[in-house]
Amino acid sequence: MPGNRKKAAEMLRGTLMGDYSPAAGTFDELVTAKGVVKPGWQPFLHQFQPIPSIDQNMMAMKLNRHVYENGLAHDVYAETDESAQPWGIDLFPFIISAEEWSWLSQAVTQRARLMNEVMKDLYGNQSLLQNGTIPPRMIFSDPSFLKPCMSLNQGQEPITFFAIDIARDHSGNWRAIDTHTETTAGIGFAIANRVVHTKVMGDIFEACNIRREASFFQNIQNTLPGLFGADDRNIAILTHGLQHGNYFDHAYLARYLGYKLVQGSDLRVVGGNVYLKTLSGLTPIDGIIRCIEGQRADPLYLDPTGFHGPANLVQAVANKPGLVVNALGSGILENRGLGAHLPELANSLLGEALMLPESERSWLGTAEARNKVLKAKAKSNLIIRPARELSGRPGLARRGHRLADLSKSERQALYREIEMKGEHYVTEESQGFATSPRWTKDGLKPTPFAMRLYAMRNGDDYEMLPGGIAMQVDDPKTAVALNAPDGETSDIWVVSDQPTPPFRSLLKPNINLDETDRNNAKLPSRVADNLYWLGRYTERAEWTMRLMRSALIQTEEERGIVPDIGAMRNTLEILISKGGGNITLPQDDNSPQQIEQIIRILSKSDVGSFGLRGVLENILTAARKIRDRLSLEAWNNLNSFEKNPLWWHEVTPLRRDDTIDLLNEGISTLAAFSGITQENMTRNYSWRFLQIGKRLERALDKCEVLQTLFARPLQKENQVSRLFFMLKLADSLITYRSRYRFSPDLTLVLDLLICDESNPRALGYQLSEISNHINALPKSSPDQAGTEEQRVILDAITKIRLANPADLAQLDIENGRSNLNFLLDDQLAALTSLSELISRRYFSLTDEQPIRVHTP
Amino acid sequence: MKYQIDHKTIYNYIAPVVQSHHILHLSPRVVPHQNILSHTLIIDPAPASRIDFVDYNQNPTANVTIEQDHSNLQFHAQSQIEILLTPPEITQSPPWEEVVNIAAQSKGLELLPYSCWSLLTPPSAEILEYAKISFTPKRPIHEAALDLTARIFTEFTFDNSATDVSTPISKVLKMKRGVCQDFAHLQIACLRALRLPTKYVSGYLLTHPPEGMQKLAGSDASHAWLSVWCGNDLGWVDLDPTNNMIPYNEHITFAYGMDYDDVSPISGVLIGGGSQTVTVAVDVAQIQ
Repeated sequence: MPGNRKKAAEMLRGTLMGDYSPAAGTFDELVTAKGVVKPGWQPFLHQFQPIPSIDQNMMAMKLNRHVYENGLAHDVYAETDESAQPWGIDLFPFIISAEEWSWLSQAVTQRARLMNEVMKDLYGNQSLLQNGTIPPRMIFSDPSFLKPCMSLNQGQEPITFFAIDIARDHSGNWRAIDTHTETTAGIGFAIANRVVHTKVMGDIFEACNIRREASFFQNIQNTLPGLFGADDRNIAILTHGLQHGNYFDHAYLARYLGYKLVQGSDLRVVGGNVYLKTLSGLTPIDGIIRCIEGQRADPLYLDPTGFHGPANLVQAVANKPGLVVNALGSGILENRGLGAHLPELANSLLGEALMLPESERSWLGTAEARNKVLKAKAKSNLIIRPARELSGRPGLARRGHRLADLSKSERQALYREIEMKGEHYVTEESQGFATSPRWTKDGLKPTPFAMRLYAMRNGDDYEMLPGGIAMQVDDPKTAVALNAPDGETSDIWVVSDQPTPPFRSLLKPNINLDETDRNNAKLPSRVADNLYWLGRYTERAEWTMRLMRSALIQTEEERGIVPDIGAMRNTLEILISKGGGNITLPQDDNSPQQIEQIIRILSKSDVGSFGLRGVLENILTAARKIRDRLSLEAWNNLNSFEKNPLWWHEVTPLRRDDTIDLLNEGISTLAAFSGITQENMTRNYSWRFLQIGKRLERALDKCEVLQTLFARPLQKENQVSRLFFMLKLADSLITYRSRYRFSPDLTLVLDLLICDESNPRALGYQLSEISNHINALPKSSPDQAGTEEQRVILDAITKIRLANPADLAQLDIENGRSNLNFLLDDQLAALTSLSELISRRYFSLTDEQPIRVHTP
Repeated sequence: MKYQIDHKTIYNYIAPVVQSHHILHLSPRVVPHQNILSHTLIIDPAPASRIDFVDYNQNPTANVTIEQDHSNLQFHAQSQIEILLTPPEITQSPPWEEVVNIAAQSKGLELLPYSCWSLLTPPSAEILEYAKISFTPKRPIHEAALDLTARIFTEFTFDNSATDVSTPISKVLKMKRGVCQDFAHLQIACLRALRLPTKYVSGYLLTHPPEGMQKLAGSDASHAWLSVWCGNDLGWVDLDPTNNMIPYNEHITFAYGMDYDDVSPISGVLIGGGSQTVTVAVDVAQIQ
């Protein structure tokens, strides 16, 4: 048998490696020029090759699923799919041997040290500009150079997070292609890649003695509080918010490190210090990890249209140097023109020879360099591209223009642009890319690659993240940067030259129990706001679906009860009128067909926020905004609406039965979300705001439908069917039947749906829950007088408790029910004002967008 | 010549402002040709914090934060300045291309930063074309620059309803209308498109009422012009395209910068306030 097994393994090797033949003359990571597997890869292949190809396929599929579920494909956050970069992780890691890594680490950390020194000079005494080592026009033409930040960060090391894009040329020599110092440059993607990849490849990872990334992040956690002189809890990651494509990156990093994720509008500078607006007022922020462009970080001192940071942040940094990392203005180091000067700078600033050369390129800020381009042959391979990239997102480097690819008129236009704005451009020739193996169903394929590596300042030096993101370079003949718009990535595995220490979980912060914020009083106002609305929208969606479903089911006669078409129509009309769209409804001819037509209208997109699509869109938007606060289950649950295309058809083309099935599925999904939040969320303020939203919406719906169906005069013969409809809508038919065992009576129904505080669908129950939550909020008052919102809810609940169901059911002289009508009017007014009061007290600061003023 | 400059700005807000941050360039900078005789700046309501500093352009700057709720806000700056300038006498100047070269080869940071364009003075094909009508090959720089100043003065109409602080110069060039800031930005953009070092100058101008009329109180305004480097001998020479003149004893310099954003008299970011109205009253008067 062993012999057979060996033979099988050889056959498998044949399938995996069979066609693997890198282009002649091109360096390959996996095999030598003679086709022999390199030693660094052997332990891995030894583990991987015996896996039957059917299992490999399964693993790849599983990996894809995890990529999707973890939200790595960035459309999870994006409002639209436009410009979305897809994301995929190759089953095959990119393996770097211990020796290679040792050299790369030295070369990359040297770069980081060098850039740090350059930055100190540019924002300090500028001797490099004074003596012309760096051309001043290169710096002063670059909007990333922030003059208001001169001498701002006294005595601090400006670069904490450093990233670099590197590639090998055809002969295997490494070169640097881009520097990333402005933001954290996608380090969240690197962690997410590792987490997801090891879910599938974990066993092999263990067996191959690969270095772990966790210790790097542990060091971040240990270093940053000291660097900022701050407590863990007062460190924030500053992001643009979810409209930005890199939000996933920032949210993931925040969750992994356990830091607050904040946006510019969450912060305020008071007395020269930065504060976070929270439920319980302003809480200090002592350290900011900047994931936004420096230029747009302070609308007062910097770009007046940039509100990604709080006004006066520059002053706060002057007050507390080191408050923001990387230091404001660090984007200037990304200027590609600097590359040519690095060898000289390394000599003069570090006294060292530059280890890792930069791609050869020239900056078009001098007349001489511009003339070279103008004189170049039309068929030249010269590539002209911007000196600054702007995007820190891995793989989205903008493509340059290759002279040879341009028409004559395009070339003329480019010449004119260079003549005018040459300072913003560089030129270079593609130096080619080495290849590395990618796994496919049909075996390995050699693929051109470049990679992004990360380092962080630790003490006097920089420490490498032992890993990173390797990417498949798109169109390697003309690419000069990390051009990988397809987002095909590989996790970088660094082989350890010593036994790796056992896995330590990163999530072990040093918690001082006396200071933990169990109630979550430091919850940002913006998050509380979104939770409240998520509560309202999920409830609204459930109600909309219930209405549609009940109406669809009851258009058919059931147990001898003639359906009350009028009641259904009136109820559905509430939704349509609240949506505010300009909708023409079918004529009321008392036919079941009109109900189906109205339901079809409700599933269209233009019916407003109370229609099916409107409310589902609102749910997804609110959920995305607080994605980092939701458990994976809760998120997956809500995100399933996004995934099922049936919800998004312009006109539900479904048959009645299919529509009912879809609605059933939707109601179950929402019930599951409700259950997850009920079972898994800590009873803190986050949970309370979600609940207040849900209860308030449910109470509103209940009031409106009861008023519509019963406060106005009724046709006697319809009452029973109308009561059945109401009980079903309120999910209280079973309760009613088990209690009373006879056909519905209005007084008893009103008691069950309004007054009964033990029925979770009753108005009284909602009010009593809202009251409990409000009393527990941080700004509520413990004395009897209470705050305004406490008084409003007390008044509302007292009116319900004093109401007599028999009086409510009483007909008045006009054959209507004015008692019921008055009560519900009062309740609707109270609920509306309650919503406003809560918003004003807890969320209002977020609504007040700062305004920029100027003298005329 | 001695001047008293009185600059009062009042903001009225519909809703109370909860917090406002301001950067002020209301104080005169130190320049060789002026003496600052006195200067006061009063802010009402009193700010929670006021930090006076010299910014990266060497302009005196104040950072002011008001933390109390307020529905109006007043800045009142008063300065007395003496101008020591003698009338400029320029007969010869080097060809402009030579000045571009000298600047490009220059060491230090006196010239080069000002030869780069800024966000409000970007080059474009149209700007370059407009500049080159005056900047013909080998033309002496001073002559060319004055010609450009005169062209802007004659071809453009002063119109304070046509533009606001956010109007780009490309639009100004198209409309041929604007105010002093627009004309200064436009000429600066033209000169920087040729890579000539050019500064934005912010200050005040003594205005004269029409003959036989009394000057109206508060009818003056802050003014903007530019300064271009004309080679080692001439150095920086001021030009005022709004009035087609070489500023000397009726232009009072307050700040230098790349453009308006660097030296805006009052800029700010506020929370609350709703819509607002602003009243500015400037008086420039000659004193003994």
